[in-house]
Amino acid sequence: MVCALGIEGSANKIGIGIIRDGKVLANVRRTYITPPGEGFLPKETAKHHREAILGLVKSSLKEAQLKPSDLDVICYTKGPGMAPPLLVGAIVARTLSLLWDIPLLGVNHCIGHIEMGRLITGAQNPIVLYVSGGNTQVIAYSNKRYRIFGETIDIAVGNCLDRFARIIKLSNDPSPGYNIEQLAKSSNRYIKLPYVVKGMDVSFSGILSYIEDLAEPGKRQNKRKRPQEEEVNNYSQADLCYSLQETIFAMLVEITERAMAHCGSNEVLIVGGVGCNERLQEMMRIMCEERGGKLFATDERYCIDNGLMIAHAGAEMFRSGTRMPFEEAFVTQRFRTDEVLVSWRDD
Amino acid sequence: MSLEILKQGAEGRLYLGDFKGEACLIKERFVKKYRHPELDTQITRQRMKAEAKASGRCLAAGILAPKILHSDLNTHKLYMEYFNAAKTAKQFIQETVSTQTEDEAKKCLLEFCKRIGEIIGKMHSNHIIHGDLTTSNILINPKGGDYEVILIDFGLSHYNQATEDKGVDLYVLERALLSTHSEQPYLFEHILAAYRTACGKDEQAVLSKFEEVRARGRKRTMIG
Amino acid sequence: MMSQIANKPNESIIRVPFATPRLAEIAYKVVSVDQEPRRNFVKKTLSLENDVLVVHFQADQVKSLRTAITSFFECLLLLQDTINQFGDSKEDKLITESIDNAGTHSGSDSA
Repeated sequence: MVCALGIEGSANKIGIGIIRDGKVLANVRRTYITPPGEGFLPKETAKHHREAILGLVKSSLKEAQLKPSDLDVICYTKGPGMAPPLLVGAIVARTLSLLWDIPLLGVNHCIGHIEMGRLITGAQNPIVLYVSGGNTQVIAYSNKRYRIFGETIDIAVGNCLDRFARIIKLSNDPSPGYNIEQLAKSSNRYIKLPYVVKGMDVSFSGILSYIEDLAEPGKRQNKRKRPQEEEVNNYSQADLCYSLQETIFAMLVEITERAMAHCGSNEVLIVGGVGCNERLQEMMRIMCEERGGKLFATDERYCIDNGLMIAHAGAEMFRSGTRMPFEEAFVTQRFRTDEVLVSWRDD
Repeated sequence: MSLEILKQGAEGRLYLGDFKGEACLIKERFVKKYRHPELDTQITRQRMKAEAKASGRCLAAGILAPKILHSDLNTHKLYMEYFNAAKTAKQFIQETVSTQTEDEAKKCLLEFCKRIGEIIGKMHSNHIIHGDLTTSNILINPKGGDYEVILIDFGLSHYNQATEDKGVDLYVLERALLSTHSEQPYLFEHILAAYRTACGKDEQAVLSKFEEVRARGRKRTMIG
Repeated sequence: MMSQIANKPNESIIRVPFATPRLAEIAYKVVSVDQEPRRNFVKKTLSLENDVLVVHFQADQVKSLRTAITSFFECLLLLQDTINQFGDSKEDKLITESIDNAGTHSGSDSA
């Protein structure tokens, strides 16, 4: 039996989760929400996390009805992510580990998402689409590693959505992506946008600047004038949100399908914050049905960054014998998914 | 006429059929219901045209690719030459590794890398960008006691002289090799070495563009 | 890194007392893990004097000294808060008190 407490704080969520042998005992989280038009900056996000983290640790222990000595391992997100907020989680994790005399483990954030998705959905060996504010990757397991088959060659899909939401001043509460999704539901007017797929890789930066021009015509008129857009368009915000989603999600589904064909796999698991978008899930489900495959997805409790996923991935590592010297309990902004040796899988 | 489905690839379904009495492969890009109909039509037409064009360009340049016999935009079907004895480079690599001794396998794969590199170099020297270079999209076709290399799946291809596009093409291949054939990490460097001998006068510029695309991938911060 | 610090560096020594030598040692271990960012040209030396954590900063520029000290204090405060709230070893028991963790600009949810 492994009982693990996990701390996640790599971006604008700070979350604590407790898990015992795959059974969820607590999963609490707070989100740093910035005003419309503003993104979250590292320093301010770290301040938010510092103010919330200890209360969350208490809440989680209370919810789980556990005392510190019931825990076998304390896990924290080692990276990737923004260093200042990551450090908040690491400092508390280190301190608790020494105070309570419980081993400490650093966990790769992306691995946390994948393992949590597998646990919740029961997917065995899926192609994983990992989509969030900082990552866009198509991943498959092979020979003790989660290998990256496709990814964005510039910005992440969630970053593209968040930045567009900021341009049209959508609320960041509960998240910019959620508000784009809601607004998109009120349109079915498809505006042609660039569609950029290169093998199993995608690119979003060109789409973002193109749609920025459509959303704010005139703002960049000296830069580039597109002949067909010379007249002021009458696209509504909803039309733009709808078309942006339709385009970028079609790209994601396409590269996922290409990875399925390449790897000969029939299961897809979507993880990461963008993964709770119901339109993306719907499109992926249709693709899977067309090729006799199966989609696995989770809701916002597990898709969006949370402490539980760190606890669970850490528990799997701990169970399979992984230990970490205390001096290695640092954080790192860059930490690729395929750097981690997946010691807990035997297939 | 009921056709035998060979395979459902990423791009569409593959059937065995015939065109004017000649056995051929039919690739049907069926309507993908997950995409907006307008986007789907646009993508399907674009990919079919790209595939037919690139195949013609390759053959004209002396690079083996399936001959396109007929293209039907209304039924989204492309009729093309079928190589019934061919296997994918992916299968070829895996079989070579599992059936030969380590030294033999490596020798065989180094020769394979040389050929692949030269063909991709030749393709780029003709400014053909494949767009989806993976070991699933390269066929190894036995011929006599030897084999020939055939490039397939040109749906994402285009014609471009820009070094950026060639750099990205190489980057896509490198990543595909690293993820699919992680046990043979040496493949790409040998392919690249052969590529350099065949890619034409832009060699230096393409290589530095490739390094730049690679660096972008490494530098990207991954938050959340 | 030492070679990059001038002969007459700006220096600051911070002495932080803890309730017990054990807690001071925990603090020492926790803050020892993080290296100063290379480009800051700051040298941070940590030592323990019984129940006191001693931190010695050296930097070429006052500005980099300030940056290093500020981020050190942020970690230190969080560490002290953690010790204050969870450090009593006799307190290995279930939490029953009500918890107030409301913050500003923050959305909260529980699953």
